[in-house]
Amino acid sequence: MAITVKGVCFSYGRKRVLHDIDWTVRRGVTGLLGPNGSGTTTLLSVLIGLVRPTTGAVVPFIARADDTVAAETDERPRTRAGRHASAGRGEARFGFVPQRFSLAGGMRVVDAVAYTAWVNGMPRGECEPAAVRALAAVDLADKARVKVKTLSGGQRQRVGIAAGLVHDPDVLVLDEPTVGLDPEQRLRVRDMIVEIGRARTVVVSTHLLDEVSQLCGRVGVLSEGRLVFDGTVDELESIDIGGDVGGDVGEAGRRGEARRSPIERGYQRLLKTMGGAE
Amino acid sequence: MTATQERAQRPAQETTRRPRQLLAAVLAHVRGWCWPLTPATVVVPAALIVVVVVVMTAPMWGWPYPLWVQTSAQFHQQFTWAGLIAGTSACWYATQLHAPDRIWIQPHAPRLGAPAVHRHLRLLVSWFVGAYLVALTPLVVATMVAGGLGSPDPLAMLSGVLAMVAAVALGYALGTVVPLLVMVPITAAGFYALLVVGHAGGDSYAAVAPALHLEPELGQRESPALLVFRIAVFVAVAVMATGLATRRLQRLAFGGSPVWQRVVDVVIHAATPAVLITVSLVNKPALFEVDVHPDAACTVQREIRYCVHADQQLRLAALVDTVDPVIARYGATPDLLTQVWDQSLAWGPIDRDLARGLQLAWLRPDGTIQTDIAIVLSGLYSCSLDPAAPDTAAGTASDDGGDGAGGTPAEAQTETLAAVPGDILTFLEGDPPSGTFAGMTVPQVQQWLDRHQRALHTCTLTTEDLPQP
Repeated sequence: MAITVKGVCFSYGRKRVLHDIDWTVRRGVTGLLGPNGSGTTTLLSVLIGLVRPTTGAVVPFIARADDTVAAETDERPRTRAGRHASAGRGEARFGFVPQRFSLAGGMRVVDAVAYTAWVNGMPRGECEPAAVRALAAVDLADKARVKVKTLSGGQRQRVGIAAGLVHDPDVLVLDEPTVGLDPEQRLRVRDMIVEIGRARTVVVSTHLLDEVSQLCGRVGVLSEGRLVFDGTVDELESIDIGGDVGGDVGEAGRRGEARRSPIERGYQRLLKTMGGAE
Repeated sequence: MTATQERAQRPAQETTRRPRQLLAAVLAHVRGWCWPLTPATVVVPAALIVVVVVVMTAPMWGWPYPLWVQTSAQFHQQFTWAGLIAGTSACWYATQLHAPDRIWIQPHAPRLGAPAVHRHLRLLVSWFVGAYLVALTPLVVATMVAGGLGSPDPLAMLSGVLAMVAAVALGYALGTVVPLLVMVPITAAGFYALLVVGHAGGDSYAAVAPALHLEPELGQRESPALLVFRIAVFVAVAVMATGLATRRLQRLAFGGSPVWQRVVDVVIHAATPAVLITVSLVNKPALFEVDVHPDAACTVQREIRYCVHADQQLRLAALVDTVDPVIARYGATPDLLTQVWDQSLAWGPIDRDLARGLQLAWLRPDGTIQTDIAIVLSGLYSCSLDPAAPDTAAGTASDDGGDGAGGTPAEAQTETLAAVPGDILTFLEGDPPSGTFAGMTVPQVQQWLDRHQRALHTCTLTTEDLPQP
């Protein structure tokens, strides 16, 4: 399953947050980058259907191996008010792991995940086996029967990912999935996301550029509500605008530029061309 | 270990393993029922409901003359604490599941709405209302076994059960609309306030208060109009609370809603119950219907006619046995006492002629019989009804127009007069003559009572009437 955002605009009152976004997310892990206030959270909300775009639509489709569209699952005529925009998401199932989420502390881990499966329409009898499978996928099978309150922060984050996965969604959307985790937990969660991305479409919103280079095959960059980049990580890293990115910063600036990773350099150059700042 | 020893040990191991397996299977079943939260979230409140209802009704189990109207009324009277526990627990349950940042609040999750609400309410209602009914069962059985007087009142029972359902749904809706822990004590306080207002408001709030401020007795029955209205109110509250919780969850699945939208939802869903409550306050239905001319069983003793409700004919002798010793102690036939009736015969209007010389007795379901006949004969009531009468048995010291200082002869006389009814009461209860009658024999006191019974009943006794030492 792949998903396309077509001509999406979104405004909060008179303030336009997203400007005519066209973006296709394919199977694998896709990163979404952008400075604070650039509209990444709003775009994620549009993607999963929590907010309706002012105009435009979100269209899921089945992609062939060569990334061409095999069949759109549903695409209704776009209206000026975007009235059918959310309906245009068709039958695609979404799993969403927000940046901050909570679990009832007294609940067993397996029940929290199984309940997520149930609210997403899974028959009651299938919920617990599915939860056990999802927990195994995030390496928490041994914690299935313990209470949520006994888990560490990293384990909770993995429970969240299991809950996002448990109903077998076509598209899994993760909003800053490694924020607040220690380095070891962060590595585990990243490995897990890579593994999940082998079989389904995953969108990861993050501010950590290294995370994008380690996790994602493709990346989209938002700046001031516009999609200013949509390509592979390699393409982002290889952006070259000529000269120093830091402008007239002298020797110290040049040394700092040299210490940056390729993706950091590419990202900064890209924002420089847009006139944005991180 | 030999094969024989192994064979000998095997049955012992199996006997210890079997109960454990059985327990594990039962726990797994209970866990399945209570899913997704742990069993304690519903089992503990349910157990509490059982305890409070049992504690409150246990004294009634041993009553020799239970009344079906009272047993039926317990289905709503026991709401007082049970409803508070059920509503508050349902609120807590909802706050646990419906905080907007819970991971299972997933975008467009198809069961975030009516399916989730129905599932949770089914669970909560089954446990809490089930516990309530279980706790009331011993009372019903005891009433049946003791041959309860009258007949059960199914509408009254139903109204109590529906009040519990409404409490669960309301608590759940409150916890869903405002899924914060602080909502739990607020809900508890709200339920308590509702009960206090219901009790303090008397008949005014009877149509909407889950527990009535009075219980029906023999010869009374909760009015069908009131019951139907109460049932309508509780059903409306339950339906609207369920609708409100459903709406809120649906909105959560679509990213939540601003506060103003929540307020609008609450107002829309509260409209129907609010209209019903307003109607009940404007147009109050009668609390009870009474038997106007119930069948009676009567007998005469010492020229006094004793009557009880036909349903408790067996207690006629007990009534006579309770009152007759007082009459016997009184000595003469009292002028103003010609009849003693069971209270259950007198709920309706009584003919003025018939009421003359009539005193009532309360034949309680616990076997006790209460009458005020000794107090009436002593004149205590007559004088307390006319406390301003100067220089009479109930006249107070300040009434004698005196100086207000204690110890004057006038005051002493007034105090003596005021003490006369109390001394008569003590005498009628079987104690030796004392106070005003100290030193007198029983026949002397009886003669004095016979001579002064009119003065006692009209509260016109004067110091000249007092026995001379």
